[in-house]
Amino acid sequence: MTCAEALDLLGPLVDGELDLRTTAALERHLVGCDACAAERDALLALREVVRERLPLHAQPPGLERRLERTLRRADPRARTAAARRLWPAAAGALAAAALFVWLRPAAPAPEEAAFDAHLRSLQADHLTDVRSTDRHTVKPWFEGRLDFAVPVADLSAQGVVLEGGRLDHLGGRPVAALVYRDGRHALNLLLWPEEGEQPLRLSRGRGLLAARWTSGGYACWLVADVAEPEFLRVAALLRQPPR
Amino acid sequence: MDRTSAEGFGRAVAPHLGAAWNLARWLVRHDGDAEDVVQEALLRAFRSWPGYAGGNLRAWLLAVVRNACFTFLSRQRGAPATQPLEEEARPLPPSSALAAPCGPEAALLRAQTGARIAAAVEALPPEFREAFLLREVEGLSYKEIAEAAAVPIGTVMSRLSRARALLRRALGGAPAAAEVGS
Repeated sequence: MTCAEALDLLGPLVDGELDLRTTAALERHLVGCDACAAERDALLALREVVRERLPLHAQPPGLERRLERTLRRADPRARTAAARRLWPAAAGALAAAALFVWLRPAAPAPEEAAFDAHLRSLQADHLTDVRSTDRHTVKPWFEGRLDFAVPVADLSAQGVVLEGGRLDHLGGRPVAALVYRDGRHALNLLLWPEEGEQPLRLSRGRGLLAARWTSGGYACWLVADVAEPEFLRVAALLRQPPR
Repeated sequence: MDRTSAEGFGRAVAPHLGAAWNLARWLVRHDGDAEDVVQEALLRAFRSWPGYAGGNLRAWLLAVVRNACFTFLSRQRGAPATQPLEEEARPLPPSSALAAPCGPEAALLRAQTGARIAAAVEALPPEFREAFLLREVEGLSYKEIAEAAAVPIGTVMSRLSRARALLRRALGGAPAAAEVGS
């Protein structure tokens, strides 16, 4: 196999779209050709960083409800029933109840709780229980107050200053809230232990941005009123703190 | 499967709404527009639901969403939806034009932040962005992407290849593959 042929097949190779025979021939070429192997490694690295770090857009609050209304208007059966005026109120209520079952999430959207926590912390002037820019002060403060160790990242070199920490609640669970300041803006990082890896998902609402991810044994919500590029920069730093 | 009521339809598509939103939002790049497009797409999907032939429901729904997105984008550009796409007007340089990369590209890519990756994906032409997202985020096969976009599999391959070349260039590591030979 020539390098030109191999390079054409690298995309399909990393996408798992090659048959076994072609895969085997390509692999043989890659063993002996550093240039093509480096090309494959670059494609794999691109895939890896995109899957790990490309933020996904979470649907906005209330989208299901609005879709539900649109579809209900389009449902020929619902229309017919309404036209016949067969107990219009009851029929409407039944249709609404049935539709709500399928589109309504079981609990309020989780980002709502994160938005609440953020707004509460600002309104009640209760941003921090322990006020310190030193993570060696903030981290031990949580000991004995929470049944898990709280990782505290130092991002001062990146312009994001630790302001302190407090206890908070999210969905009935005690969580650690770390407060960072980026320029004029306070950022709330809410975290608790959770296994597994979840990519970063971005939500918007009430003029705020929220990002959710799970990584390194912790589930995290970051909430702030910061422009999106800056918000994503801070989220990425918190997700993988520089060493 | 209930093929007549909004309820049956809703039950079937509910697990895929998040993916539908994410694709629409990435393609039209605006919350309000994405909302309109998703509404329109779900309505279209509901109307063609009785004729849905089975198979990968997620791929089917995403195909309807991408169609609604491109209808929206072509209206926005003031151009007909059937306008030939850029990459068909300009032939793709052979991949062999990709020079041997310098060693540390993989490492450079791994050092990229989510924000920079997002900006690079946003900057892709929509047809490339679509192929790339359907492949990398939704895990669709070449065949499913080709059916969704109503293009030959070869076009999907060249779009993916060019999307990746553009991303690698934007993210600092790569040879300027998309421009070599043009």
